[in-house]
Amino acid sequence: MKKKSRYADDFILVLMLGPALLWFVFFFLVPLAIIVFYSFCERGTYGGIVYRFTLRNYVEAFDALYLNAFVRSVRIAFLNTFLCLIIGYPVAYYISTKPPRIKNSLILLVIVPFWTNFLVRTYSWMIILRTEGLVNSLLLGLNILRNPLNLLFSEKAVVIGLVYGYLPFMILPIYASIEKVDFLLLDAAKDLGANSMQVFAKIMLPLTLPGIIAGSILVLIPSLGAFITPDLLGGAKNLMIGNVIKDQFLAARNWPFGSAIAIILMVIVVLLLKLYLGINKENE
Amino acid sequence: MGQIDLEVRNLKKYFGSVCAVNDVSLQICNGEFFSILGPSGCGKTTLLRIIAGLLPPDKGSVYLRGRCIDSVPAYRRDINTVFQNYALFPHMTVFDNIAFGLSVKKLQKKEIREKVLSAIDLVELEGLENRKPKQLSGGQQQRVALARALVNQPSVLLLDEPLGALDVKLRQLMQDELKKLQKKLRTTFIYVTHDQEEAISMSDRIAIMKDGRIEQVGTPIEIYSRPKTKFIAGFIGDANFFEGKPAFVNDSTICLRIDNQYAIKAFSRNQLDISTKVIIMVRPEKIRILPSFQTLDLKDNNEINIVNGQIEDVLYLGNMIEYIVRISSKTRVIVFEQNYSDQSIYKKGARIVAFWKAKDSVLLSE
Ligand SMILES: Nc1ncnc2c1ncn2[C@@H]1O[C@H](COP(=O)(O)OP(=O)(O)OP(=O)(O)O)[C@@H](O)[C@H]1O
Ligand SMILES: [Mg+2]
Repeated sequence: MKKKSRYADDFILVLMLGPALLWFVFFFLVPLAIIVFYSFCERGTYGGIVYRFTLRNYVEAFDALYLNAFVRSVRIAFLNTFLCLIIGYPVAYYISTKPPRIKNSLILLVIVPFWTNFLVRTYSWMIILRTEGLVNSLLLGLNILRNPLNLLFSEKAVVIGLVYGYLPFMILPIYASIEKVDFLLLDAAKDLGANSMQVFAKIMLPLTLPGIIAGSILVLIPSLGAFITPDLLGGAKNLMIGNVIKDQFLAARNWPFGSAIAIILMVIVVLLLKLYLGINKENE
Repeated sequence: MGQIDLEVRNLKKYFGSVCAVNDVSLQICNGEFFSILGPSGCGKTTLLRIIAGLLPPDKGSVYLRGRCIDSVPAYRRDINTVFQNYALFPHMTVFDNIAFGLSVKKLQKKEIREKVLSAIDLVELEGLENRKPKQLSGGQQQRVALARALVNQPSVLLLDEPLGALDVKLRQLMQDELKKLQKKLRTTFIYVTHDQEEAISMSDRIAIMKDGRIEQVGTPIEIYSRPKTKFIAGFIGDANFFEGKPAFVNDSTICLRIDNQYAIKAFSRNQLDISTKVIIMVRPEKIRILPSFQTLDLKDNNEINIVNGQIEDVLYLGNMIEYIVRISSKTRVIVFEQNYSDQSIYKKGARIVAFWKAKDSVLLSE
């Protein structure tokens, strides 16, 4: 009797998970398998794929040129995540201390940029950052600077563009976790003798850690593979790994090599995630 | 009484146009169990938050052992609070919750451990040190909140309806334990509650609060037997009220006519004006019922108020009987009688005589 009802439960479970499962298989696992497969193939003379097994793509990926791109991507992605965190946390905190009506409008303001195409917004950063752009005109006009800064087409510009683009992904999850914190707990900590620093370190930070983790992952992973921002704001010299992959698929028409690099990037992401979650587990 | 531990003078706090605390002054003695009793929303929590330093008052000052502490931030005040819904830190174990106050003061690990363990012992939470607050029952959470505050050995402990969330049985148990604990530690307790029985049974003194104001401060006996206002009389226990202009006044006695049928006597310490409206209050348990006048011994009838009536309703409360007695077309009184024997309970509709001593008529102001 009991067994039968368990089978029925399983059946309902499969029915309910079915659509998601199909989606996962056809739009994630199958493409992934194709990419893995390609990465072990040879490149045809005119950009096609020759179905012959080789490890050359992976060996080539460890060329200094590409290694540099990997290292630079990881560095920029971490810097971006860190900057988003230290800018986003105070913003999220500030919003959560406001009365409900103001809160909602402020959150709306955080989301509003998404209503415009990301490419367009990145182009507007070019206008802001270029030599005759808004920043330089302002600094020169106020006599703060003699000569204009070379902002555009530098790593700085890429980081500025990435922070701008990914900040909402940091603010929203942190805001959500701050909203869940009972502010009475902060009073209780103060009452027990904790100064503001201790209240933050011992109560606020641990209680909002889930939001910090979620936000960091949401920012770190896409910024590792970013290619639009470094393309437009970084110029050719600041290649991130995303640009390499894009160029291999589109310009160089070397799909097997592009696939190999994409797989390596994925492995790096998975390793970083494991490391990150491991560290946070220990902190708990 | 002992020396004054905590004093507040003329405290005022507005939230927008609402005056949550209105000109409150109190003096609380060392080692006293002092209760603040009042209905929901009267400003009790706000007053405690001001004393704890968590909320700046708009006016007035707080003194701890004679020293003004208005400029001392909450985290440096030698005052701890048990919050209304405990406010335990959900990400910490019971041990870490209790150790919090000591660890932010950077005490030695060993010393913290000793103190926390003895606090755990004090509130009988042994074996639960490593649980998170979510894994505890309401009563256990309450004990953790208590231990977390007490472990710091504050001069004054503020308790904001600490038993409000517990069921009746557990509440009575905790009342006894709290009272014992307070006797043992001799810490000054400021205990906020809206439960009048709790306040009466536990406190050395009670302050009655209404709409942000303190209406009366006194021992439980004073508050119960000599309430100053109708609000207090009705809030603490049950009460019968008779209102009107007095028919007769002299130095010590006042007489009130009710429904042109009876004259009710009360004693007054100060001279009253015949034209001012008065309220006389009689506690239901002070009124006695007899079947007829004949059974009443009238040798000192000057000192007694007598009314005729008919039993309108009888409520059997087990140890007590509550009678609703109609004494005139407009007026009814409540009478509590000890349940001496189940056979002697008056029936509905029975005609009776009710009487009480004139000194049990309490004169109130509006
Ligand atoms: N932060 C606040 N902002 C606005 N009004 C407030 C605030 N805190 C309290 N009040 C108001 O002040 C008054 C007193 O509130 P308080 O919390 O002190 O009451 P209380 O006596 O503790 O009530 P309870 O027994 O329900 O806990 C209430 O009218 C309440 O609405
Ligand atoms: Mg309250």
